[in-house]
Amino acid sequence: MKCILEPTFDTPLVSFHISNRLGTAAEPFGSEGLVYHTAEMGFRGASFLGRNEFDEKVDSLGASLSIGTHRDYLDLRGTCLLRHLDTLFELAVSTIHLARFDEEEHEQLLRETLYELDDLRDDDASVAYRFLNRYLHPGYVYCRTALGTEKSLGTITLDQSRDLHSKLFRHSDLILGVAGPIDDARLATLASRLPQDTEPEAYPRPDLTPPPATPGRRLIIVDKPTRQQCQVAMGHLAPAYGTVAHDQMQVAEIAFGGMFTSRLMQEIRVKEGWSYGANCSMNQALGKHSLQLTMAPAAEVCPVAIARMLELYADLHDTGLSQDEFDFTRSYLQGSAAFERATANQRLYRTMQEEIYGLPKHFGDGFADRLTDMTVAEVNVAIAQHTKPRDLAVVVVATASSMLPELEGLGWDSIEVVAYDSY
Amino acid sequence: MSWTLECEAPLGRSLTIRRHRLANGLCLVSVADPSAPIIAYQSWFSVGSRHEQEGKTGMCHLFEHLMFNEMESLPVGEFDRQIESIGGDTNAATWVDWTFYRASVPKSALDLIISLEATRMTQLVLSPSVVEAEREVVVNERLQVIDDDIDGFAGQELFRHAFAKHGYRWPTIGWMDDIKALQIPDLETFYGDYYAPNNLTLVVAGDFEESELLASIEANYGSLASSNVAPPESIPEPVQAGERRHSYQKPVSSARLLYGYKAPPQSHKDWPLISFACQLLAGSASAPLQLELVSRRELASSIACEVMPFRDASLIELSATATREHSLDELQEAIDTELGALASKPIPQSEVDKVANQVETEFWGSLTTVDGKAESLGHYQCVHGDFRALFTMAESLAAVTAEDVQRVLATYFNEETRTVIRIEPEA
Repeated sequence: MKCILEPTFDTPLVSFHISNRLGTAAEPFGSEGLVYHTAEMGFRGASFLGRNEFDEKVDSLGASLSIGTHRDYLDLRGTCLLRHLDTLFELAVSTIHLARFDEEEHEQLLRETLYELDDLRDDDASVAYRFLNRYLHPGYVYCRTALGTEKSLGTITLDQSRDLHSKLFRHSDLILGVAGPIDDARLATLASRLPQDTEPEAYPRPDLTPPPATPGRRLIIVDKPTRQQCQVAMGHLAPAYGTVAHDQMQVAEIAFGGMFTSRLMQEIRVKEGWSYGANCSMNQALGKHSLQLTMAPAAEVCPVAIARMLELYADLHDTGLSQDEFDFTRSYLQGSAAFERATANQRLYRTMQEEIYGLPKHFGDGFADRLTDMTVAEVNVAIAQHTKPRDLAVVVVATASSMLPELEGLGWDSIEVVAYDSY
Repeated sequence: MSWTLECEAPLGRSLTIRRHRLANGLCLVSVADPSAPIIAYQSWFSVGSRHEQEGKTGMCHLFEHLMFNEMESLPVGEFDRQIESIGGDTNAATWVDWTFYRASVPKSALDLIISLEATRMTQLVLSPSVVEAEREVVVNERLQVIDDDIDGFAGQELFRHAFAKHGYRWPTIGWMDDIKALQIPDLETFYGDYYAPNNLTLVVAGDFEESELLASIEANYGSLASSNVAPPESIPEPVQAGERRHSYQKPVSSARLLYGYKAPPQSHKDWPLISFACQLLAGSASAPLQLELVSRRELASSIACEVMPFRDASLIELSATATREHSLDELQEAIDTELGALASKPIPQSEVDKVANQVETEFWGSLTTVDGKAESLGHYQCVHGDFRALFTMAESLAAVTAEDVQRVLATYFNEETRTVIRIEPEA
């Protein structure tokens, strides 16, 4: 187990994270939602406390305790006043090793996940992201829903979940991080409370090799009634975090759509007023993950806005960044580095990410230095290699009956219309 | 220097907040915090959507957008470009009582941000092409946050029906027809009236030398003339006689219920008690409404309660989303039954102690970053006229008793003066 401390004495608050090295990418195809369900089951009764008693204990401390489900890891995190740290940490540890896995709670959690799906479907941006992830690179372990589908949730059994839970938190895989007004001795005491003898058989690690990509521009209209506005999300796979190519593509991402002065914001928002936002972003992951472009134009300008976004992306691919754009973006990234490590929690997050992704110490902070040595030519080679403006999925949440005829003429290799509540 | 030090107060173990004022009325609240080499610089103007008039709603918000555009000495885009070139970040927010502009910059850019912010107070150019482009952006923003967003729509309808007279009844972003009709002369008048030093509070938190901060702000803002800005008009709401109920059918997966109960201004002595009661009712998984309606009976997938931090008479907003197996009628009946029961029996001391811990944690959590510090101080200085109200609020919350909670539940969670918004899936 790895332990990390970021001491800070500014406030009486303390935050801790207990992370493993296994996330939703590890769940079998067809069992989407299993890892999320299993992680949450730890909070549905642990040790001698039922779900409601457990919540009562946490809430009575004025604390928060939750688990984040990510593709490559889980993040059990708590925040409380220093005087409650021992009690909250004990509760956190109990979710790992003393989870009860009651049948009734299992059934209720499955129902509650369906309610969460209902809520998600009422938010168009979330719908667009969910469908983009599905269609981005079918068959790839990352391109699946963490929450699950109505169908996959129906296959999850209590035994399956209990078995997975017993393998999720191997002691040698754990990372404990704390930010707050404590010292190394207190950190060591906390670490000692995580049982040392948990080395079950390792759960199979996911294969992070993407299958062959589907070529061409694929339009997916996610049909939802009476939309006045379209949520647009398009993308493809991009280099894994920690690689040289990811560093280089990060410059491209910011220059193209990560600042207010970026190309997308200037062309789509400032010049045309078509969308409140127009952005480009890349995900961080152990394997290749997505690069996505997003905007939300009004329905009447959606076709022209999509055409422009595709044109801008193709132009980026073909001509890369200018020296001025590169210099400006590098200056922005180097200047903004201070904001990403301003608080103890931010510094702890950085260090924990380095551990989870197996990166050298200070890899995150070292980005500013690596930028100094980077050239525009290197970035443009990466752009030419890793942007795929002619091979990408384009998801549009819209009312299909009116939007399909408007979009058909934009030159697609395939068009699919799916109902917003079909996935 | 012509600054007047008006007051100071400690923040945490080692920081001190000071409030200074210039002769032209400009107020500065600052807290030097050297924990990171960054600065949060915020400009809080005491003007919000409540100051607008029927037919010209959305003016404050559209104007906020325009403030990032052309200035006499800066072409379009140059404001953002100068901030982003040094790694900074800038944005703004408009609400009912205030508009604030925030910038986060490296400490070395203190003079730059002071100069840029002072420049746009007097040099904004409202050209037709810029106004029209920004109007389109705001139209799209409205589609995104209200017209095609069910929670935004429900919130808009709640305030529209809960307030009959006050400017709190229209959405801060404005009615769509008004946004499309706002004229440049109106925007110019608005700029002259409200963007003046005597209507501005600067809040600066981060790594700076106070003497340099004061000198630079005085050099950039000291010569600005104050305006004859009218004090905000407090329009009393007529007493509500009977529940107002409005129902809508929308293409949603989940039905929604919103209650709006009349509440006093944030400066009223009962406001912290109501805020405490809201947290007690629904602020955590073990809170009575969450426990009974979400966990035990599965009538709702979520439920929340909060009181709006407004300068004038306000609203308690209680919202719930029904689960797919249950109707809004079932949910509404259950909520009313629970609220009635809670108001009529003693609140256990353990529940009060629980919420006291929660509000203490939230208080410190909101002050973790320099942006968070600046935002908290700016709100209280702007709405209450004194940033120290932040601390009296915390003290009031820490002193709440079970009897207080029971009293405000009985007094304010009143069916006769509430507004109900019901959203159900289309057939």
